[in-house]
Amino acid sequence: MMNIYQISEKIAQRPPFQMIEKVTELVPNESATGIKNVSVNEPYFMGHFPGTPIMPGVLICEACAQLCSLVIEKPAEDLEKNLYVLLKIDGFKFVKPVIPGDQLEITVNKTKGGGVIVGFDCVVKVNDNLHAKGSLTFTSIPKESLGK
Amino acid sequence: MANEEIKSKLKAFFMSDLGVDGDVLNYDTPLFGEEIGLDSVDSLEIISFVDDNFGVSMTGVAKENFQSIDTIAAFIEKNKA
Repeated sequence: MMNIYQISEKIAQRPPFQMIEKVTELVPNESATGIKNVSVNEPYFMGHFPGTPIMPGVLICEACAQLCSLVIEKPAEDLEKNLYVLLKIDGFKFVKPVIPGDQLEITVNKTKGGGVIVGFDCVVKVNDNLHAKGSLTFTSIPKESLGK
Repeated sequence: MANEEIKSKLKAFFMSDLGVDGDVLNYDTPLFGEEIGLDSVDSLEIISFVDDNFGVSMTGVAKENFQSIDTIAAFIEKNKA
């Protein structure tokens, strides 16, 4: 279990791009369940879409990715030198729209990795109903290689 | 593990995980050429698969070793414990 203060100690993203607000279950390097509350006040609803707010699918993927990043535990010296980044988005399905007022319950389970890549299966539910699912793969890159 | 078995496992992985059409994938087909068209993201998947399934690390290994199923299998054969 992690609250927003503990989450912010572990991930670099900040509002309005912080997509996990609470972690209810966490098994380091294996799996997690987290919560994202979707408010009508979120800035992207102004344009997506005017009068008919729907959470963009890419941001649902981002919420899943942020939860995955909380699952990946690495030694401090690794995280100092390397950045874990999204490598692949596979087979994502957006089964039902996510609208303001929904509470996303996101579950991620590691399927492969430990070496150069780490893969997760992700499931997003609202009120126990499936809204989205898919797979995400991450890799680490040396921070000093960025922009070169 | 016989070399043939390694090649057959690699081919099954290319078809199931990387979406390569088995009909055009022979053991000597160039993987990163125009026909198959794999990219650097796929090469990371290959490295991960080889590490997990054969216990052989291909991180930082020269490009020539990734040319085809034949060359990957030869590398595995040469470097496995």
